Amino acid sequence: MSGDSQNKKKPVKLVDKTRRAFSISIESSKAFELSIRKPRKKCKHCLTRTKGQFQSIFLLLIKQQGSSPKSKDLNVFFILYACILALDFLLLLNYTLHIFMPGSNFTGFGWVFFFFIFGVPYISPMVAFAAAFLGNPNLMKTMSNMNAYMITVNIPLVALAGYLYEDDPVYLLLLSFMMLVKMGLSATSAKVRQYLTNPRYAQNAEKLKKILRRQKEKLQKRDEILGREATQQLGGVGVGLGNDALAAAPGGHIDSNGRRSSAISQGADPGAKVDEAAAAGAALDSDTLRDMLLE
Amino acid sequence: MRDLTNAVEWIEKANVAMFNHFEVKAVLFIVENQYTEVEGGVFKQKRRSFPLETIFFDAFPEMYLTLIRYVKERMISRKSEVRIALVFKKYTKAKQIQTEMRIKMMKEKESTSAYQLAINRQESVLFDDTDKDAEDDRVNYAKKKQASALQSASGSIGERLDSQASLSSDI
Repeated sequence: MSGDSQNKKKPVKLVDKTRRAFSISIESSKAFELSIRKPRKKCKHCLTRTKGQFQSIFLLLIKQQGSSPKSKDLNVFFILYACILALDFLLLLNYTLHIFMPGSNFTGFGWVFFFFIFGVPYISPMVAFAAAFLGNPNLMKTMSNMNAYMITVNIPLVALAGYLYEDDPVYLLLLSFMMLVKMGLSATSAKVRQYLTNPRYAQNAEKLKKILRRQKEKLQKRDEILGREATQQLGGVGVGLGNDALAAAPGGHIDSNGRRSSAISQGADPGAKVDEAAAAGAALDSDTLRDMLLE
Repeated sequence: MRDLTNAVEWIEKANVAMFNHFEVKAVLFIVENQYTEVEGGVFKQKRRSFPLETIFFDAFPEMYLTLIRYVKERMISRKSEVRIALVFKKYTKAKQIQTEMRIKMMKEKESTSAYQLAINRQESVLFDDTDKDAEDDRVNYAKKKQASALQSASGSIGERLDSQASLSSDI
């Protein structure tokens, strides 16, 4: 009993939440692997999954974060942004006229549109215009948040008020179209925002791809010249995949860095017959050879 | 999910282009800390981590899906803290080829449900038994410096002892 109590680990007291540590050991990885394998079919898991699905739909439709554009030419996105913004302005103008044209509409349902989240339907397009004019990603983010509020709170309430007031159904359709336009504007602005925060992404990605392609070609060339076996030996990999196997190979031993060096380079057995690749590898230091080939 | 895949692919490209040459590799980890309150202000911690490498996910796509589902659930229920960490680890080509061969063998044995078979057998897909030793073998330049300093110090002491011995024998 006393042994058990000694072996039992005491729970750690968190002094400060910012001073927490993460574990990347093999044991912790195995624990993670085990925990993802556990069957999760209870009711609470189903509820969490449903909640997650709703959340993902909300994020995809309304709160898009966007990804950095892969092409250098972004004119398509800029034009799309301008078109959708213009359409948003037109719809807003149309609905505002509808609210105010018979004055009774304003007292019936128009006030919800105007005052419920004060002025958001009017401030949002103005912010979008200012963001495009100044090229400011923060303003675009603010505009996206305002649109999210409008879609989730403002427009459904206005639609409800309009329905109760027996408004023309065409305007209910207009409200739903406004919702779609706002979603499109948020998605396009997310793409433009990503470009504004990291304008050289596409160029850098292209350069990196070019570097990787060139490096691959060099490695292929090295394989062609020296042969696959020799290149594996340069990389520290032998037939048996271990240092022992490499060391066991004729005329070779492993240095402290795990690289194979031939006996010929040590001058121990100058007359031994080796193949061309091995000779090339043996005559030069492996690092020098690797550098020469990469050049 | 797609963004995470892209990030992992880019890291592996960077490994091939930059880090593997120096026997180092960057691995993206999903780390999870779970705190359970035992009594007033005292917490019990569970620390877990999962390496994201395409070699495993290409072989066992269902594992990737399960992982994503698990992370999503954890984040929504807010039961644990989930973070992404970029970790630099020691890289050896031999080890990588060994892992590739191990996975290939697992797939060849049971091509359709290799992952399910591993679950039934309660085997780890990510590691084998030899990985325990590799964990301690971390790339640590501070340790290397210390070791080299110790080596040189012991070398000089040895030389002194040798010279003293030779002097005494001469006398």
